[in-house]
Amino acid sequence: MSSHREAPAISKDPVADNTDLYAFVSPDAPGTVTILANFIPLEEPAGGPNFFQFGDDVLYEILIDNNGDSVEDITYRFQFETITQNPNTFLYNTGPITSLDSPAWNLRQSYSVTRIQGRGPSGPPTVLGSDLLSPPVRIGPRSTPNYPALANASIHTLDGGIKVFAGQRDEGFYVDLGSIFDLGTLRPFQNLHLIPTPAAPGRDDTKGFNVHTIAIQVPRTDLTQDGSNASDPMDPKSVIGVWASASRQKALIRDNDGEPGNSAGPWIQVSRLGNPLINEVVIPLGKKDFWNSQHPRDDQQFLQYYLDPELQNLLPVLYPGVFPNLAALLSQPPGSRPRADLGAILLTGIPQGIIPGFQNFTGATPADMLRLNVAIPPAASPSRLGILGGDLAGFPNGRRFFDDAVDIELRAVAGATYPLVAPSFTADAAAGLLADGLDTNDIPYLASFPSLPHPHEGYEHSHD
Amino acid sequence: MAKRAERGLSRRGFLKGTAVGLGAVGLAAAAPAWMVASSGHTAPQAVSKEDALPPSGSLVAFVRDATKGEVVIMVGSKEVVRKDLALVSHLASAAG
Repeated sequence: MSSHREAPAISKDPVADNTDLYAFVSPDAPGTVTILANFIPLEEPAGGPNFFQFGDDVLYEILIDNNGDSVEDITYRFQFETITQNPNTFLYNTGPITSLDSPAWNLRQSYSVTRIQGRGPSGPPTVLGSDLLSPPVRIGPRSTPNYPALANASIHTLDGGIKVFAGQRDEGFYVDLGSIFDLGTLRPFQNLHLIPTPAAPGRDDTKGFNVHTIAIQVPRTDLTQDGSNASDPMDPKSVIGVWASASRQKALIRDNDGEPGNSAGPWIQVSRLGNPLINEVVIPLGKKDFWNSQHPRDDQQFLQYYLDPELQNLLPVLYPGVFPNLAALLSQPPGSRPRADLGAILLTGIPQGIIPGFQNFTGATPADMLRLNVAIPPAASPSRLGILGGDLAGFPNGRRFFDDAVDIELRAVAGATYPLVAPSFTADAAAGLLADGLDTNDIPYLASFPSLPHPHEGYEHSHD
Repeated sequence: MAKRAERGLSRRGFLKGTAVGLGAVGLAAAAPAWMVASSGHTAPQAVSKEDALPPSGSLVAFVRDATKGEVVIMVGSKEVVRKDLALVSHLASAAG
């Protein structure tokens, strides 16, 4: 998936598993940037009686570099606390939850938001909000009868024009997992696969599942290096780098008393996310959890995997004769054909002069971050293919919730973007057509913050 | 988190207080010979006022490799590493 269960250790720790990250200039408030960080992959909506929650013992962070050194200059830190009103019942709720102060809501979660200004984790913290309630999970028509009202009441407006939301959402990422993990087949093209079957439409394997989303909408002036509103797309100060992380304390001492245990020690990063699908399909198995533990400023150590991804080498093998130009390129020694296009898209940003009127370059230091040029306004007619579709407001200029990251990255890896840095290379026709056969989410996105749809309810949902 | 840590204090306290009394150099004599022989003796560091334990909360002491004489001490979200063979020896002895 995007970054769901993507590494061996984190796949066993779902509350800390950062599954998707989005950052975009807000269409509903263009003077702001919206950042969404999703956790807890593939939540089955009916998964009670202990429904999904954020981890009280996990430190969730959204980090922003605004001066191109790949080190955080601003950190938004989210920490949760679970409150059990009545431990003498097995029920999540003892009646309909009609409001956030409903006495029938037994197991609730609140959180604090802290902003840390300055380089690294040692800057001065400012508590932006505390005791902020997450909404309940969406159970069914008896337990959560007016869910949109509950969710909307959980959008908190903080000082300085900041909005936050933390709670359950529909899984807005769409992908045909069943095909991709079956030896890289893509149903629309599987008649051309090494092990062929008739072509078929894609299947949305995240349909009907939920995630937990941390969402924050902040004025652009809070994020830029000089506090400006960033109106010039070609100004380097218009670009920010964004990534998210989850950390656990170094030590956990368990006791046999049913309590969650005592944690102590510094926070150790166990999950991170910048660009979609990277730790999923670019970083090899033996390095995935290590990649999760590392800071983006140190991504030079993973450079070989970005510049010669395993997937590009598999495509001509899995689809014989479909990618002759890519195969010819790959017949040369790896050192002579680094995919500088992928390096720019994923690790440095796209410099000026490549795409007219656009850049999101943050300097030569390779660092896996979403790079958002905040001076690019939201698109009037957005393309799910983002920049590949001629829409400069979409991935890899940040990432919107509806951007088709699977198709975009498939095409880029197949060579569609290589001519940007190697004009003599002609991409294969198939590179511009690759797709998993899905173009959008199973249910409509919201028109305003927090953008991702209300979650599927346990009582009534479908994965078909 | 803090609430849970406080709740656990009265029942747990894993190796609580082990940082107190680090001046007990003579304890090294009670250490297994292999430990002393392989790591050499490092004088215990003085405990300054700033190093003193906080008034509440759990403390975890972790010795990854006793032969190196290093103790990782974690309190709250802080961590210090002490090179202190005497302390390691004492912990090893206490662990039986």
